Amino acid sequence: MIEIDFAREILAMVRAFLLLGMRTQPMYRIILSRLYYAAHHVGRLMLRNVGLTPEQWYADVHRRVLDELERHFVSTGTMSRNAWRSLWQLRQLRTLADYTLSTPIRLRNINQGMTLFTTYFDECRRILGVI
Amino acid sequence: MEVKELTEKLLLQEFGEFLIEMQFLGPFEGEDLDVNLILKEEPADLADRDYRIHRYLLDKGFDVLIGYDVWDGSDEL
Repeated sequence: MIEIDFAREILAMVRAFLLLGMRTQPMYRIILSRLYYAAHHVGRLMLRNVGLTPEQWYADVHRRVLDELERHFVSTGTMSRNAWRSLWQLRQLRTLADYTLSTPIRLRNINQGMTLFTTYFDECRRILGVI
Repeated sequence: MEVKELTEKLLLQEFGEFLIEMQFLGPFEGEDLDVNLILKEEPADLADRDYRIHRYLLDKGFDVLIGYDVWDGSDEL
């Protein structure tokens, strides 16, 4: 599953950047953006697994992925509310990082992004049976 | 009710006692509104409160991005 491999690679890359002390605003913004998109792609994989075709959606794709994840996984009790809302919050952090240059991204935002990502990604892997 | 007014009402209902500041931003892409909340502390049931707000707004047809930042008193980058 290319989406799972990609998400793992992004997580490893982010950890390496932080270990190397790459703590600059551009790097923080790149990290939040990549974490969100890696999570978004895992969401699309989850939806393909229940027969949907997100690659054919051309409008409101990010919202629709969240909406369909709720419908197919959260409301059925397969995914926790916390994992689902983690994707929402990653999306918000990514938007903040990419559009509001006047708002500094802080290390606590990066740590928060990492926690949100792992919460969501771990649960998706459990549901998909990929450990 | 407009999206900003409705969102503000819901956020005050769920997070009023924890709230330091509510910052409205955007929209930047296809979403309807972005909000960043600065909280005194994180409620233990934040996930449930956040879920209720998102679910309600989605049912009303609104796509609102809500961020939560617990203020730790530091400006460390």
